[in-house]
Amino acid sequence: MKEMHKEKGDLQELKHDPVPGYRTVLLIALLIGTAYLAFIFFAAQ
Amino acid sequence: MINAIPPAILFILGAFFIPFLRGKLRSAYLLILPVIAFLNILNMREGVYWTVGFLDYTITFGKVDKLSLAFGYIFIIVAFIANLYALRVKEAGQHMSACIYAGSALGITFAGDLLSLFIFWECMAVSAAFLIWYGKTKDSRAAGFRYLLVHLFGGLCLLIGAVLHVYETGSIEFGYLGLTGLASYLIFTGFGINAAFPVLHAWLPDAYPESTFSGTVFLSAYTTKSAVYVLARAFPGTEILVWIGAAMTAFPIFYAVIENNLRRVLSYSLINQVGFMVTGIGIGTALSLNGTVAHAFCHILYKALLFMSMGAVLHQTGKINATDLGGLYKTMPLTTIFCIVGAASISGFPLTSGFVSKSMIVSASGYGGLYIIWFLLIFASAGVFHHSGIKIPFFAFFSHDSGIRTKEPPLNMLLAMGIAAFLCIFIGVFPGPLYSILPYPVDYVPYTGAHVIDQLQLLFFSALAFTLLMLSGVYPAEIRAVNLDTDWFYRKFGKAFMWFCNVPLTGLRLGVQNFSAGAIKSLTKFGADPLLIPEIITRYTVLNIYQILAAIFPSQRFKDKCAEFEFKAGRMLKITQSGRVYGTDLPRRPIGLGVLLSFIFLFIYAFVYLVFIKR
Amino acid sequence: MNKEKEHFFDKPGNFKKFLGGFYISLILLIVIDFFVHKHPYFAWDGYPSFYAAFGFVACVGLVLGAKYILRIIVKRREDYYD
Repeated sequence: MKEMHKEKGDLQELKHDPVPGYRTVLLIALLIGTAYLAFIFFAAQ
Repeated sequence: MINAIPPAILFILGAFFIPFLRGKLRSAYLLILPVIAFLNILNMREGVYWTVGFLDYTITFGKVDKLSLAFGYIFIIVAFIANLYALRVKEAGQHMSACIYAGSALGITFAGDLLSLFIFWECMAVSAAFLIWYGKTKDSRAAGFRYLLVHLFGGLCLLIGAVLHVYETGSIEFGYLGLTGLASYLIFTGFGINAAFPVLHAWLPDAYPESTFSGTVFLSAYTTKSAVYVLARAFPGTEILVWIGAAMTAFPIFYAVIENNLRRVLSYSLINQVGFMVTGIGIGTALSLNGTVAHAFCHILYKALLFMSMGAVLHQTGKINATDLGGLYKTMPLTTIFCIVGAASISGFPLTSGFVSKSMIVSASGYGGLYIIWFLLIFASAGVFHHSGIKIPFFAFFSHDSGIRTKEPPLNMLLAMGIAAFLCIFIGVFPGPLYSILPYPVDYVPYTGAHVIDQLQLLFFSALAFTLLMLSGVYPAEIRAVNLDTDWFYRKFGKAFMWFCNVPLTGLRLGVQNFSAGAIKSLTKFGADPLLIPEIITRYTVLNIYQILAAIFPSQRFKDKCAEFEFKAGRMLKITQSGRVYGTDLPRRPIGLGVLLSFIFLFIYAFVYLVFIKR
Repeated sequence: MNKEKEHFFDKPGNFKKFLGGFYISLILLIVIDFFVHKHPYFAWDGYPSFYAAFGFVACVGLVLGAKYILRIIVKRREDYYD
């Protein structure tokens, strides 16, 4: 019982291993997306 | 209407036969009951009937129009599916609670007056609490009690509102109310608690994941959707509902992203989906109300399907946290496929039911020019795909391999999921039958080129976001943790209240108790010998006087008196201290003294009374 | 468990193929979008691939918001309420 409780209290984590290079891809895609949206709203005014 | 009987009665009375049936007979009964109810509802014509006179009012069990019929159909269909899914559950009580629960929701759907509405409302809350308690864990017991307290509060709001309404209007009829005064605000709050309005929503993700694998399937269908029904009946076109609904679609998806318990993720997405319906009610056009009913219809099916697939995972592995699961597609391929169908439907993929219903509400907000609402709904559509559409199947069935090797669930569970999955796709491909039962005539075409491509882009690029976030390691790690929600307030307040009861209030009680016990003790002593204390006081006073006299006039006589009274007073004091009232060394007093004392008191009383009061 | 049969995603090649198909479908969606006649509700949603950009940015925003704002505020130990 005590052991179970201890296990419950632990903040067990499951991280996702990054694949190298994808952080940059994400950033670029985010930049393009945001820029395009900004352009649309600017143009739509 | 002569041939039909109220479906609520059918389910609620039918539930009481369940404990007397065993094995195959019970299974057959559980399946036939919804079938009979469905044939029965096909026989119900539109109109108002099944009225019963009660005191000065008329109770109506059959207010049947297209709105209530649409909800009636789906409530019965999902009862069949969920009963099929739950066939292997041994406890008769759980089947009974489920049937009574479904029956109460049907009762609400066809209730034409506030009194029967309230009674079914409370029936539903209690039977749902039993479904949660059948989870039979410490957490489910506590969550069931919290569920019950919250819903009894909601029911009380409804009751007070209803009483005020009847008092103001003299009519018990349940129909369009609109937000007009205190009565309607109270009724609105009562409905809002069941519909999981923001801030009032915490009972839902608190309680639903704690029920049994099959209980949650029932729970996901009835409480919130019957609340949607009554809101659509009583408050269509109420502007605040637009904002409430939009908030409901947006905020739970943030919680869903970080939540670890997959059934809790589904609970949050349930609030998100009900948000779409509430928004539709608030917009109040024919298109949006049609959208609300259609979305409720489809939502019940795919939400039940998703909860069934997660229930199957829980049933087969005993685990439901994303941290413990993964890689189950290898051994549960059919469940995986059904789950993906449900996930696609909730996300609104073209050719699934979510697409043909959700888009009506989004379009209604677009045509209405409500651009902030429209943005929130689009955002929520993308977000729901992100957590319900991808997160649920991905973390349960794919992701990292948890090493769990199990089997497909039993045939009845697979069949139930199969039927729900079939209906999800059937409605998506042929929306005609669904559109034909909606309250208003439909001239909405879901499948236009622009519509399909827009929706696909929204979904696929949400998926791209998920993929890139996963691959770059930015996606939040699954963590076993509690995420605080608004239930914090009443859970912590509850604890604080208990502390307040246990510490200061109990202290006060003990203080009062000790004081009165002490008072009683000394009064008893005093009562046993009322003259003792005056006597002691008198003797000490006399002693003091003699001592003063002895100090002023030093004479032997005073000194003797001092010694005498010191002895007498000391003896008296010793008697009181020893607690002995009648000792051998105690001077007895004649009864006459007591009588004299009471005469004196009586005389004083009579004097005061006659002279000052009576006059 | 050595004898366990190999499943679809156990082969890294299959995963790559799956991703490749996904990326191709994304490009296709953007290309097709230019040829579809739109009937927008507002001024902005008629632009090509508005939904794609919005879906992507919204979801990244959603996850970042949930991870760096909400989780920091609401996360507690699992026995927090016990």
